[in-house]
Amino acid sequence: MEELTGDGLTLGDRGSPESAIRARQLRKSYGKFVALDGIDLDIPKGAICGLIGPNGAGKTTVLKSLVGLCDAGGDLAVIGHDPRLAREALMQDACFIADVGVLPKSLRVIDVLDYVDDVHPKFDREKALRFLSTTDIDLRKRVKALSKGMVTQLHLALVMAIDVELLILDEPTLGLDIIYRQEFYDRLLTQFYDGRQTIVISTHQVEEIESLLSHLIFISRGKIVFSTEMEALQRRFVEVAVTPENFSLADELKPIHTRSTLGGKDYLFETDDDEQATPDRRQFERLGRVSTPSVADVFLAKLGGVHE
Amino acid sequence: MSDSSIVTLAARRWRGLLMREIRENRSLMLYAPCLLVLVAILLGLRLFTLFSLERQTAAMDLLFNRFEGINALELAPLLTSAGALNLVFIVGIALSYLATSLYSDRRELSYFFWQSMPISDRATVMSKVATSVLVIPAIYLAILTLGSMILFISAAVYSFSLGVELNGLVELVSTMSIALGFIGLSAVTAMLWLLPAVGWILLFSAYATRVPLLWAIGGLVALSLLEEVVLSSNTIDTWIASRSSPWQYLVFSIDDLGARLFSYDMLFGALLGGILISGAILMRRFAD
Amino acid sequence: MGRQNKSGHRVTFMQRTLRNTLLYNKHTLFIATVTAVLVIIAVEGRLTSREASSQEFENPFFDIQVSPQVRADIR
Repeated sequence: MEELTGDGLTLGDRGSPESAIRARQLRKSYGKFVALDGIDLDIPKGAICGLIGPNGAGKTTVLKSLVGLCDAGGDLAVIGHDPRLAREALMQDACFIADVGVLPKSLRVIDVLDYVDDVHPKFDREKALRFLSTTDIDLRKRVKALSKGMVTQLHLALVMAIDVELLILDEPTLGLDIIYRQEFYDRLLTQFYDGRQTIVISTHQVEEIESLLSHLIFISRGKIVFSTEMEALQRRFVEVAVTPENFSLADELKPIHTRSTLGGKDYLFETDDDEQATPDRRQFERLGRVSTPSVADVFLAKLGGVHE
Repeated sequence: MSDSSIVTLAARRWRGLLMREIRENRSLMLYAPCLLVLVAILLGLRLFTLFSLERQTAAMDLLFNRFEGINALELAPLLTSAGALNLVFIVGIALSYLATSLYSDRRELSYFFWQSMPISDRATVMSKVATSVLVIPAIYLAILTLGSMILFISAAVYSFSLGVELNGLVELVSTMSIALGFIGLSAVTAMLWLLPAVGWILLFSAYATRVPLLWAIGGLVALSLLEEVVLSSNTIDTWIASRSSPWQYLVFSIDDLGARLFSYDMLFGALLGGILISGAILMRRFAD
Repeated sequence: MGRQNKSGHRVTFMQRTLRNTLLYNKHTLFIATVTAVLVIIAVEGRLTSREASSQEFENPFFDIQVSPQVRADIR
């Protein structure tokens, strides 16, 4: 397996030099099961970072440990706090939506707003109400009477009305239909994100959030398999639709992954040095049509290596 | 930040924390006491209608006229004792509330929502303690007062229609008010006296993966059995017995309140309760 | 000595020790809490050689001072 786990992300020019999240050798096991096996993270401020991995890879455990809901070992600083010791202070400036996305069922929608209004000094009640007025949610209804999509909308309304530095979303659109999912990310980007916040989103449906990410981390079996900035990813990986007569030529260039298609094969190449990608590209163009691979393709290629 | 705004923030946060408990436990904290008081009123009325008109008139006369000129403080203990059963209800409601208080959010997974608010585990657990010691007795007392007023006003109107004079009205009202106050004080004293039980149940509520109340009771029985078998002593039984009789909680005067609150046994109980509550606070970190 | 971060918390030797013992998991914490309480009860019993007792307070219900007339009516 390729050793890309060591340094994690390097600081990008998108964020300020200070990291929003910095973790070294994050470890967590449940009995004999090792959920996190020495994770290193460096996520700069202002990043929208996707945490991608199959089910059971440890995504949820990483995110929970970032907000102090899971007692992982190792060094950890999240917007300057150690979440294991100062969850209360951290949560003034951070928000978390768990994968289960459950709000207290026996409360009315308005009760939930009242509660957050009372306990969160950075909550803007009017903003939440404005957001909710664009949805079909009845404030007098109990949370248990809302549909899954409505609960997510309510959750989003709460989160967007809190002026936070860091937003952590664990599979936020799991179980939602396509319209709610689209709307969720649209509103998140247009109505919440203004470049100051850092957002970490975990998902196993990467194609949905691919376009909004600035950074990407692949995780599998409690380890970081690969992490990069999106721009670097696009420079670094090349997908070529190769016709059968060029198969042997293409094989010589050591693709990291191949996939059969109608009338040929898609070859995925990783270029050695992403700064000098141009000469490589010409070489690839001789083989067939060159395109930028989707994150999902890179993910499959990288993860295939792990599973072999 | 100025001092006053810090105080305002803290007050708002505590309002939020306590309102959360009330809103999440409406049926136990509001509807159950209402039902109990309503049943008591209906039962009283039913018994009253069994009397002949003559005896009804005599009873009303006794109630509204014979206490004229009496010292309300002297009579109030009688009424307080008559209301001792309310203490059993208050303590019962409080303890069953505590049993689910650190459990139901873990079960329904709303735990993650609560924990994503800037509220420490200590504040969360202490809000449950405050709810059981102060909020539940206060709400119960308010409902009991309302019920007593309804009963009292209907009795007065009925008496008036029977032609009974209402000379001792002032004394009766003040006796009732004092007795209600004593019941409230008794309830808070009882909950403080029961702090070891509060802590014990909270610890199990934070620890158990199902039926926390059953585990809490079972754990206690198991410990006492273990003590009997291993040490052939029964300290735990003595402990339980010493805190179970409702009569000891009845407060009849504010003179001995200080002695009650700061008695050795009360403070020692508070120490044990404090350790158990601390355990429950630390247990929250393992809640996922 | 440990790292200090923005919120002023310091991971001390004590905290690390606690995390590796009592706070290792929910079961160790549970057993530690219950044991602490039992030990304190036992030590207190040994030191003071007294038993836990109910609160004994005068109960004026039994010696209520009302006029004989009223008392007769109440009975």
